[in-house]
Amino acid sequence: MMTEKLMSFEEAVAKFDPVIGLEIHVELDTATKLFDWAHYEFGSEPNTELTPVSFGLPGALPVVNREAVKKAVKLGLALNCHVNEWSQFARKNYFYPDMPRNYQISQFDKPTNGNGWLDVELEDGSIFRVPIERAHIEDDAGKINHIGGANGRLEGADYSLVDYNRAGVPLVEIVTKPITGAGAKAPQVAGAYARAVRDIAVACGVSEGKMEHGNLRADVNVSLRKSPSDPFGIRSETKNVNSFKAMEKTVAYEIRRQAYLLSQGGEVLQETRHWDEKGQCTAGARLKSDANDYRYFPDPDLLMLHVTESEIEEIRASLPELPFTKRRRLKAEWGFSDEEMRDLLNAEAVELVEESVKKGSSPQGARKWWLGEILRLANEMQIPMEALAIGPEDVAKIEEMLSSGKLTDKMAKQVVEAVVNGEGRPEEIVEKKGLKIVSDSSQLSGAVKKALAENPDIAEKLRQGNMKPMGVIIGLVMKETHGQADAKSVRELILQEVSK
Amino acid sequence: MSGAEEIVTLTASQMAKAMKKGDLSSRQIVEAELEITKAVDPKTQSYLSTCFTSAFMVADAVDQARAIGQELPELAGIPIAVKDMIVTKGVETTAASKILKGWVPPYDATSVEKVKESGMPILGKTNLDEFAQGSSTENSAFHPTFNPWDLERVPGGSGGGSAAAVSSFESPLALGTDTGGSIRQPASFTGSVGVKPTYGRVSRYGAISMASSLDQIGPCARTVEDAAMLFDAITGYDPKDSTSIPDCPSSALKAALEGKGGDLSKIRVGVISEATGEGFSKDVTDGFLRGVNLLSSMGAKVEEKSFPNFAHGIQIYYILMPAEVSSNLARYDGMRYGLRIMPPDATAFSMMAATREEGFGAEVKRRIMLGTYVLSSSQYDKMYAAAQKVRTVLINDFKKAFESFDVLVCPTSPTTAFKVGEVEDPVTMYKNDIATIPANLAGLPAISLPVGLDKLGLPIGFQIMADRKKDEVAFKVASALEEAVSRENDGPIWSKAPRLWKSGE
Amino acid sequence: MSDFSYEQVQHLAKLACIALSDEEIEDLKNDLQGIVRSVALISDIDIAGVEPTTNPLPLPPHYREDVAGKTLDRDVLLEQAPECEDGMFVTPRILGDE
Repeated sequence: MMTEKLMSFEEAVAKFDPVIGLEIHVELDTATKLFDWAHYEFGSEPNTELTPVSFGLPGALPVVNREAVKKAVKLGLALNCHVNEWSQFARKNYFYPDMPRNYQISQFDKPTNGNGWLDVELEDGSIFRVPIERAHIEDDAGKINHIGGANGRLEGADYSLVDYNRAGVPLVEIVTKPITGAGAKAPQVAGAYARAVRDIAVACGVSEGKMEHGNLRADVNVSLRKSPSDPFGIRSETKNVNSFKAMEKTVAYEIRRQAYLLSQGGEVLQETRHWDEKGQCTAGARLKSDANDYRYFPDPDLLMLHVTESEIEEIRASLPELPFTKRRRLKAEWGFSDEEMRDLLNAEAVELVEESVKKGSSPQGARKWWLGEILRLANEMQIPMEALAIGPEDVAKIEEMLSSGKLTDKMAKQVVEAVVNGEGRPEEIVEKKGLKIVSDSSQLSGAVKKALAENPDIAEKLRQGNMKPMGVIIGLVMKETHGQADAKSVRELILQEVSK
Repeated sequence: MSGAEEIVTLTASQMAKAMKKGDLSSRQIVEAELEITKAVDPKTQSYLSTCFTSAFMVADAVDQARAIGQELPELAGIPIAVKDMIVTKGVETTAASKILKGWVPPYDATSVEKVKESGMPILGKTNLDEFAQGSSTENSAFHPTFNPWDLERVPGGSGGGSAAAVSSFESPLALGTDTGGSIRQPASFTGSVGVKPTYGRVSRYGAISMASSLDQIGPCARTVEDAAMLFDAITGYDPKDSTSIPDCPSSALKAALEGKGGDLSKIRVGVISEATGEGFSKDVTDGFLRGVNLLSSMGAKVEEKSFPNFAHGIQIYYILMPAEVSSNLARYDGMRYGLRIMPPDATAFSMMAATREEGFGAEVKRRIMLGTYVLSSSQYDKMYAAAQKVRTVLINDFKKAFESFDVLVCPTSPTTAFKVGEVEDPVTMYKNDIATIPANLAGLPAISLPVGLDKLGLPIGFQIMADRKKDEVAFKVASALEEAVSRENDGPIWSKAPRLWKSGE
Repeated sequence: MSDFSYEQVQHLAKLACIALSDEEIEDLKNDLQGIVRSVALISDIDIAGVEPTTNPLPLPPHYREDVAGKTLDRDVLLEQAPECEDGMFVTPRILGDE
């Protein structure tokens, strides 16, 4: 691997003004594909989800899926786009082995959604407005598996196998205008924007938003210029960046790489790159040659797409409360600080806390669990929190038992861990493990008396008002009761006993 | 009724009547067509492949159903040939191209489904210019087709196979596709009837796309009435074709029968002045004008109508058509089906490029290249986008014309059938379609029928265009003219075609 | 109208993905020139303010409801494949620089 020279990020953003552009492909969650009646399921048997249309057989013709258009419009409205009453599908012509027709049906000069914006919240609580150029509808290509060569990458593969199942799945490609003025925050803006788009798509019910299933894929464009008053520089395009973190890293890396190049009097090549997760760098894939003339023209197999004013209004009325607004409302309702809310966001735990609160937990209690013990366990197991065996209902239950004094903090942690380990629901675990605070004073006072009797010197000190060795007695009582005693009650009993 | 000659020279409508009366069975018809095809096809080479075994199965099923008194569609038991540009489930479909040789489709075109629902035995797949690109059927990758009227001449194209099969009595009916005249020009060269329906009346689903905004499937027959019966059977809204016309019930047969009465007193006929004289042979012009006189003798109000943009049709066409062709034919790349050519040390792209180089013929490559050029970013505005706008101008001209006329008429083709190998220059060949292209550009219905013979005894085609969705008006006028021509010539033109099964003919 | 150069035709052939021979490229230089010249006459027609036509007929919107239907049998597709492996279509190696 060729290692490229980089400028430090701080120096790069001090010397140059970064401009970024983001293209996010959102896979729409519909029962069938964009232009045919095949259903698509991630991970299904290769080449089993095809019709003459999505397989591109001679003679087959596309027909637009109404639901896909509705969902695309919904997403457009949520991104504050202008929805065009008339839009048009155009063919993007280029040859690639994953394309059954060797043209993609996309939109060109008449996209369904134009001109929008999205406000995203940055780590310091500030709001950054990302301008959106368009959010157009298009169909996806198949998937290529590279055989031979190094770790399934295109480079060095001996040959490849194509699974066309994904061909024809509806996508909305959201293209930003050049994002300027982000400066050193450019990487953050990229990540925050992509998260916001994902959250909106999920909240609107238009996409499952699963990065790991490829429901969201991003292309990241970066260019630098000396000053904001200069024209845009030559940009690099990093394709298929498949996680939010990788997007942030891509932007940061490209800023550093290009800054070094430019500072050495070099030139940035207009090229396609990809993010190399292993090397934590972007790598040039191919020169964007002049051969890329896509020869867009309106698809004669399809009619103009017409979404009426009233249909647009109907869809607008069906929009749910959007994540950004909702977060502001929840923050106020829960009385969280900026920092608390941000931590929650970064951990992608807002919905989990919200659900836990709905099930009866206190907001602070829920926050404490999700960002504490549960997050720790999730990190340990390296899976997202939503995938753990513990749910909001369990957290609410544990929190309720804790606040009503049925469990100690320590016991609650035990319960959480057991639920995560799949040992059952909280009540079952409490029952099974016999976790119970012993606050019954007759049982406890027996233990207290016993401990004091066995340690007369400590008892004497306590009687004389020297409370220092109190802990020893509490510890003995805890031991005697297998840790189930309520420390507060024990303390009170000891005091009662020594003051007799 | 038994002799094969006697059976195959019946019209489809006569066959239907004979079957209804019990004088004839579908099996007898298919047997007769098989016998004649065996004798005639080595001369005409109309078919690329035949499927008589399955045709007999359909025929027998129809005969049995009829025997137990089951209600049957009008065309049940009447055989049909299908242009090899239309996909047929389980039957090799090649578009007469090497690149698709051996491809067996897993589905039926909607029009083929309709043919099957009508109980029509499919006899085989007919020859064409590769991917329907040509005007002579000389561009087939497999073999040319010859004109039954003169085997040294071309049958026209691209649908020369369907037209030759029908006019040489190898089949009473055939399906064709028409993008710039591929049904009508061969009809005119072979003395048969060819119909290009209004764009959207017949589903394009399963017709291999050449130029999507121009393609239309339509009937090939010997008589207007037969064509009308087939038209009624294959038209109709199809949810699988976005450009299919909803709510447009078909009554072509009724219109054709009405036309036979010979009363055209309510019909206003516009004679396109640009489509006679220069560029059109004298024989063709004379034959055409005789047809115009016949129309007026039946009471039609005939007037000349000038169409300054008519001749521009061919220019618009040779921009838009190749553009769509270049994109529609991109899917043939050796990845999923059809031919694959592996060059030494092949990569995906070198394999695709080698496959397309080897798999496509010269004319197809020429059009793909031209289409790639007119769509390229430097040419798009002045070529493709401009042609789309001139297309609008032409459509508006027609809209205006149909305010004053019910039908517009002109010769189908500037000449009668030319000799095999006679026309080599592509631009000269393209001019064959000068009179047929405007109907495709405007989406109009148009019918070609024989109006007489030239000095060499070759058929001359007469074209009738009507307003969009008014296909039935064209059928009525065509049917009236057919009757009049038949009276003038002591019998229908088609009946004068050589009987090629007889030695020496 | 400028004449077609060898490089220009070669570039178009690359876009169209056809491995044309030198001889074909030479022929196409002339053929394309002839055709382009003959179609260039449309530039005389006044098209100011005219809308382009993509579909020849004005038709009402055409949609499909989002209901799944029968898909193709994979075995039938693979039978027609030039080369297949593990239920997938084999493509020769894809080079990054193409």
